[in-house]
Amino acid sequence: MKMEHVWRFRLVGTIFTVLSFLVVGQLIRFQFDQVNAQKFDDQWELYRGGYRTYFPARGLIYDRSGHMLAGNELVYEVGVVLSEVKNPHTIALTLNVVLGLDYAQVYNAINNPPPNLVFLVLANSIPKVKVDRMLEYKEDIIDAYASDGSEGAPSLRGLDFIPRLKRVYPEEALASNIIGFVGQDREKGTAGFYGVESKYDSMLAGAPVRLWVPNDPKLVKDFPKIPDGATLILTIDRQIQSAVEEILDNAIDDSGAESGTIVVLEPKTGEVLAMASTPRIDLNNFGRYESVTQGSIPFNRAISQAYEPGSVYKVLTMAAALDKGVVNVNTEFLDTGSIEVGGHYIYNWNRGAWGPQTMLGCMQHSLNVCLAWIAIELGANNFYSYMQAFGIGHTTGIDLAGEANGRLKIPGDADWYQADLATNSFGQGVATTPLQMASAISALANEGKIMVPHVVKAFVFNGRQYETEPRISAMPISAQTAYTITEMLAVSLESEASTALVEGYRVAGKTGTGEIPTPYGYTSGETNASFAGWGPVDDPRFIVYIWLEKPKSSVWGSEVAAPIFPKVVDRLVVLMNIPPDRQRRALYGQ
Amino acid sequence: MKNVKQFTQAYSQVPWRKQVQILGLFLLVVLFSVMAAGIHLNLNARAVAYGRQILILQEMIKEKELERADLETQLGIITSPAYLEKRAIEMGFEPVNKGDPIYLVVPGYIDQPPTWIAPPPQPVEKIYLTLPPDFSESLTDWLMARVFSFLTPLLGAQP
Repeated sequence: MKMEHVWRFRLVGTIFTVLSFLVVGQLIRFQFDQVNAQKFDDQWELYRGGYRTYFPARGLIYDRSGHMLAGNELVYEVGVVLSEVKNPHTIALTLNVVLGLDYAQVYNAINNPPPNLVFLVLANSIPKVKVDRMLEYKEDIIDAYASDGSEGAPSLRGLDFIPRLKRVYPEEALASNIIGFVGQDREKGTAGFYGVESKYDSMLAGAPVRLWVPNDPKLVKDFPKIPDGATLILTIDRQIQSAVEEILDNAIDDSGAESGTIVVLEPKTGEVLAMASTPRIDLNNFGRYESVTQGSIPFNRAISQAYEPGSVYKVLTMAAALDKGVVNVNTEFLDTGSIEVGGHYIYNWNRGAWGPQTMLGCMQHSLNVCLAWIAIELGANNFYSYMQAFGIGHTTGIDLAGEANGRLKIPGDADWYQADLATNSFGQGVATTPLQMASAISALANEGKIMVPHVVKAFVFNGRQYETEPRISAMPISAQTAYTITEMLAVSLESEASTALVEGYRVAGKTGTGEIPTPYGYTSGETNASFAGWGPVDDPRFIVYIWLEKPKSSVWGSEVAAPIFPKVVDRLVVLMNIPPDRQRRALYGQ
Repeated sequence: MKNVKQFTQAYSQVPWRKQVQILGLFLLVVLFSVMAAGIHLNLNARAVAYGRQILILQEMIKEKELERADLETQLGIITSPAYLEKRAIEMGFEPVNKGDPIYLVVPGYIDQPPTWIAPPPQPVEKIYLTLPPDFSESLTDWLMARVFSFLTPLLGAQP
């Protein structure tokens, strides 16, 4: 090697050495420069992948026969990736033609997006059919103009569709008071409101999973299976619910009532077969909820609105007295037309004196004076113990969101007076929900036992179905008392040829007319008309509780609520396959 | 032995032979390096291609799951009682009223059996990963696995 060329090698060597030191120096600098280090870290992480939250498909809701009441529909969020947009005009025009969006609005939104926005949402909840049409347009445009590199060439580049599931209710307003509805949030997933959608929200929604999703194909890993939310099978029978809702709507129209509720329970299990209430909303259009309920009407009156039930409550007072042995069916009471309790006089509904009456007569003629006497004989402690055992004044434990307690004043409460014992005995001064009443009275139809009312029959999770077991809530009276009072009420209906009677089926029941209190007492002249009935008497399969609020055609429960009962039972016996009593006895040798 | 000595001496006395030896060794190293790089590149490229394919398939699975949920609901809608009732009325059927049905005792018939959307609970099943190890094991893992699978029959069963 010639010595005169050595300097060249030294120069090259020096340059490489300096460069190496610069690189190493820069690397060291990054270690102490937190801002840049973090920036590079973030960039590196972005290229590697990122965290994404996956929301499981919300569980479905079926009725007891497997008919879908709530499902999930595939819809798309339509938007643009702003950095990729080539021709806003084509996008605006396409959205105008396919989705009917305003051209100018879309065009301006794309051209003037909020700062730092990456993805601009232009439309939401778009069905698959329309998205497929836009995808076809996109392909056609690519085919036609792929070679056209000019500035204004038509292009749908940047237009993107993000799929998601939207809650859908195939039966629209049917059982809406029971089901509730679901709100959607892009970040938080779904959230249930009211009914089972709220009560079982976390089960239905499932557990969202936050996963690190690689962008780098070399880092790909097994994607865990995210289980769907639990599917619910309700105790509700879709056909019974539909029939009951129709009957209720007609009854409200005929009576001019402000609202109404019908609850149908299976007394032996506590299963709710139907629970109709007004108003109802099309759950697919739940945005109308506020305007329908006007901010004050409960979503489900059957569980959320307490009212004074009136004479229908007498069955509980009589049941308590019979069970305690204070009276029996043949006990006589001389009705003089009034009774004084705690300085207040109690009168019968017609202000008349009915003379000597048996307990059957007291129930048949719905005598307030007689029932007040019975409550006094029973004593306040016993009376309220029984009422609490019947579940009055506290929630039934039904698996629906928003259940109200009602109110049962008891001795010792600041607002309880001696007269309350008398008025409570016939359903005044006590507030209960229709479900509380149905549940309490179900003891009479189930050998003295109250089952916890429930609407979920089973749930399906991870491909397995789990049945819910009926549970006893209380046993306020003996089976013998239950038979006795059921027989009393059946005879009572038969002997007065009640409009609640059902041809071919022996049923028991009691009407109720409760005056609606005002701040000045019972002065409104408006009433709550109720009826509680169950049957067949020898083997009760259903209990029906009816409440009409402020009926106009008549204020009496016996005239507006009782006639609804046979209409409901006529449908129930067909849908529940209950043969008429005579045929049933012949078939089963009963 | 004498011939070998002569050959060694003759070889060491010719410098270009030594250079060829060094060059040969260098080329051998280069060849092995190129081979290793080639194999690495090949495997890496295939891993990336399959990885990409897996990412695409995972996205497709997600989409299909959404479509499945959608179809399930569509089925629910077209078999909904409201829809079927409308069809039945169009076809001339009438709702059954009280008094219309004739009741018979059918031995063995279960009235309104419970609805089973899914089978009842059973013992928990072991869940296996669906992604085969080929997509996650390193070249060393693969080599070790092959070596062990080859050696195991020779070494006999391990306690």
